[in-house]
Amino acid sequence: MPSLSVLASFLVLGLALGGVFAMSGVGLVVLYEATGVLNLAYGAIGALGALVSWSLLDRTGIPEPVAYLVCLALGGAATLAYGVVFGPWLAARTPLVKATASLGFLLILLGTMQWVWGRNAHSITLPTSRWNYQIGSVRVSWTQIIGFTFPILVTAGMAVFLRVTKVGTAMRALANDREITATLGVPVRRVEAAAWLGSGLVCGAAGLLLSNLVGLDMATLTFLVIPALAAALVGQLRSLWVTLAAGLVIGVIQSCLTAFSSLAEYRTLTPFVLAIVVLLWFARRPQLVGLK
Amino acid sequence: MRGNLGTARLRSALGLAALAVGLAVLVAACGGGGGTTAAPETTAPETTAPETTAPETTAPETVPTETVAAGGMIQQPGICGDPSTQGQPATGEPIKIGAMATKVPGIDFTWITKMTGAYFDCVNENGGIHGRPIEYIAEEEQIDPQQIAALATKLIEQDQVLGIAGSTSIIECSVNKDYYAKMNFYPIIAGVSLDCFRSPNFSAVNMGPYYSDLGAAQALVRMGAKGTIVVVSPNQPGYDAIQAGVVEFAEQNGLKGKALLEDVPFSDPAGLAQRLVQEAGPGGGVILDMTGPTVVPLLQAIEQQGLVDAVLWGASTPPNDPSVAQALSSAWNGKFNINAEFNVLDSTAPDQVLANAIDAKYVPDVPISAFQQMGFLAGKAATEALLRIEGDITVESVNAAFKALTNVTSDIWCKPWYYDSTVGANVSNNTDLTVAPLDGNMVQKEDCFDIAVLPDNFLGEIRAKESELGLNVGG
Repeated sequence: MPSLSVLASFLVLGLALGGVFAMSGVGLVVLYEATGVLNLAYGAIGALGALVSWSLLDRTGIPEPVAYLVCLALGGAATLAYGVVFGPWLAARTPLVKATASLGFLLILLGTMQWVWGRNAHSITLPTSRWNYQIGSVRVSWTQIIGFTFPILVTAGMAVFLRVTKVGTAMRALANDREITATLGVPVRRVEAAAWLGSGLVCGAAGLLLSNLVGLDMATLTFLVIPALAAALVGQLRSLWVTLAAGLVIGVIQSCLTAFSSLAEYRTLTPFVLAIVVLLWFARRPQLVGLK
Repeated sequence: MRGNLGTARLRSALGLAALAVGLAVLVAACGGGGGTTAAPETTAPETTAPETTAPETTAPETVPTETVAAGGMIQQPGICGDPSTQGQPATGEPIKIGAMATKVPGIDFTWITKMTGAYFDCVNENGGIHGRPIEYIAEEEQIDPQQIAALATKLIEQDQVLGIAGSTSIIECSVNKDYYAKMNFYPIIAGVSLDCFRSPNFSAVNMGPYYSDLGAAQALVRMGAKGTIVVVSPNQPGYDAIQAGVVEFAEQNGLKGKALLEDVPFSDPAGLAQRLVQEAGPGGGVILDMTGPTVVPLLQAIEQQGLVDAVLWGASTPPNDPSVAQALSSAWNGKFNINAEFNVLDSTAPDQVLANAIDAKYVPDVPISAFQQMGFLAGKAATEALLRIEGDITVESVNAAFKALTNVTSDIWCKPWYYDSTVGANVSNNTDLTVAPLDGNMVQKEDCFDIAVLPDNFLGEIRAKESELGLNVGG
């Protein structure tokens, strides 16, 4: 049984990692609500942004903040471009078809990244990772603090945005019925474009943070969409706050299991187990969650 | 209406959950459970457990040796091919040499065959083999025993290659060892599975992950590791056999040995860093048996959590890679002890300079790496054997020449290389060095040392024969 100080270390790591899973999950939920698309290429877009930032820092010597802004901007631009080009074509298809199409986008991005960046080691160290605090036996970096707090701010911001702004209200209307919303004169394409862009910006931020918390590896970052997806599914692709909580829980459980030798090798199953348990619970208890 | 919407949403969620499972399968296919499309594992798994029974004590003597010239190296350092025919393109009937290499998502050994082929291209531009060019036929395989057996048959019986050089495969040694013995072929390879090092019909220019991990453990013990030495490898079949040497060596030195398998790429390197330190305990040692791109995120997580000095850190050969040194901060200067089967890659010694020049000219897509060195050495050894042939160049004379190779020198090896130890277990490259990052470069930290003799690893018998037969005393 690991000591409390050891578990505290894993708790800090889990909150930071879970926070970024949660933020990605929130980005997925907002996009799904507005467009009906579950963007499985989310992690790959973040990885692409982070690798472009790395290239800019390594080869051009531009200031660090500019390179990081490029990561965010690229996340937004790539997501927006996909949404604008393919969104209208896929608008009438089922969510499963839309998600599968994004899987194709994932594979294209992954192949492109392998072609351009090959298999060499790459790394980005945010300035915030160099600033650490020792709290008892636990070492906490500013990147970890940001990884935990920024997603909460993003979730709160999204919730307010959806509730009080015209575009947010239009997004919620789209989630209920796209055709009726369109007949009411809402500029559907523009509202969807806003959702794609916002989701992409969050994706870029997540890619940047994960490149520090997990590492700048294209495959790792690409497939970290899985815990984010699990968090979004626990939130039933609807609730931002449940998604946030689920992401944090996944991160903490996964991290704390590392401390137990006998369970450590199963820790990556955490998102699947949690998502499956919650979905089965919803299926057996629809009346408790207002689904009947 | 709301209820219908909710039920539909739940159905969608369940459908998408199924898609997520599909995505997970894709992750696994791409190497999520042991390897990655982005980060192929250069320390490929050994597919068989270490032999505990003694191997054949002598290799079959069924090939003639009377057509092979004795003496020192024909090729000179920094030059490919015969020094007397430099600059003269080879003409005439090609000499066919074959090879096969594994290429699947997550594992790509074709860099080695590409580099061997590039070496032969260089030889062909500089006189070839007594004026004749080498035609190199390199096949790709996908870890399918039937395919691998068929490719060997194709190369030998259909393409009628005269020898095999540069082959590197996860399972080829296990699949084809009997066929090569039957056909009297003696391939020069880069070895992966233990069968590559325990069969008389193969000799590898490298030492493979089992011996390299062991070398890393030796370095950590010399540096004062105490308590426990942990070795962590990709969670792939066969790695438990690779790790066995480290555990055995640790126990032999009064320490505990612990072997861990970990899914790669890492989903939470910071958590793994904490776990490794916890398992090793204060002052312990940890050996990372992973590729460079895989270990870099872990090393950064270790640094960010202030764990660089918590234990001694080591690794097998693959992270001996300039891109790893460039990715690490000065906090790692001299503190990441990598067992290097070959010289540092930015060495200015003649053969490494030649390897880099050949790489740049013929195969610029192959990075400067341990794989590049393996391909270069396989090409150099095969060319040396071919140049030593006096008389007809046939299957018999080529394989006799391969098998008779002794005292092949290169600044990329610690000691001269030879083919046959005559004990039935060929680990000709059994001496290597330790390198470490220093301000963005990989630099030599320890001079060449012998990989430790363990009861099951045959190095005792092999070294006795080396001494008795003068197998690697040239230079």
